[in-house]
Amino acid sequence: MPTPEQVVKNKVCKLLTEAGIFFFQVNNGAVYDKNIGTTGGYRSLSKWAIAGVSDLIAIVNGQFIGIELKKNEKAKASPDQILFAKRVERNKGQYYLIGSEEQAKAMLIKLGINST
Amino acid sequence: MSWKTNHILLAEQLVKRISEDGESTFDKLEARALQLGVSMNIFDQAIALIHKMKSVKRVSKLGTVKYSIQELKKKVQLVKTYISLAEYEAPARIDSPWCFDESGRLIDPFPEIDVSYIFLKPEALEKYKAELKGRTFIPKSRYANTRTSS
Repeated sequence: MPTPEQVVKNKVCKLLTEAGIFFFQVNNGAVYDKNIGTTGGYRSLSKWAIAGVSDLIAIVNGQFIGIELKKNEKAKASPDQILFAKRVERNKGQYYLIGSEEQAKAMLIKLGINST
Repeated sequence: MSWKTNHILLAEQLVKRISEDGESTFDKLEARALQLGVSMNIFDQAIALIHKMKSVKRVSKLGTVKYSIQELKKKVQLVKTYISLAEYEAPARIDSPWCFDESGRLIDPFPEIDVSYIFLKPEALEKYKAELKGRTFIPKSRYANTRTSS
């Protein structure tokens, strides 16, 4: 059964695909390994991997867009995600926190893309 | 090498600043860094380092991050505890006469306490518990039935 965030992710990805936007999903999570320790554990991330990377990355007209997906509109970003957002905005990229299809549509309007 | 060019030294300075203020926010620290002419790239690296520190508590609130210093719990020193227990002259000393039977064989002073399972691995412990209750043990492997032989 998909999690609430996966439901939002599927809707947003479908919307972005229909709008013809180049985007991709970032798999930056730690991998579970049952052979670590006695009870299993997570493999450490690469030295150069950073925490808080957005779930989706899109590029529109050369503009970097980080999209963080949440299960609903009230959900908050973690401190690492806020830091990532600040770093993106400081480097003239855009960062969106999306918790519903409506927010995704609003983002597309802001980007000047007609989703219909 | 100064703290303005090294993110590790800058992180130390930031932690010092947070502990002096009691509580601080990302925006406050950023403004202070800008005022002192610190490169934002170095500042971001320092903040990322602070996010990995257990002693700094961070909470995201109203689009910013609040930082505060938290006291870490002291680790339990089991070895020291065992040594102090061994030094304590309890009645169940190994040389105590009631620890031996008539033939001079060592007997367990606390037979009702079953500690054998403490040293077992998790799966072996589950098996032990199942056998104790007369159940059949079914190993639950995380990746059971996921691999199929070709």
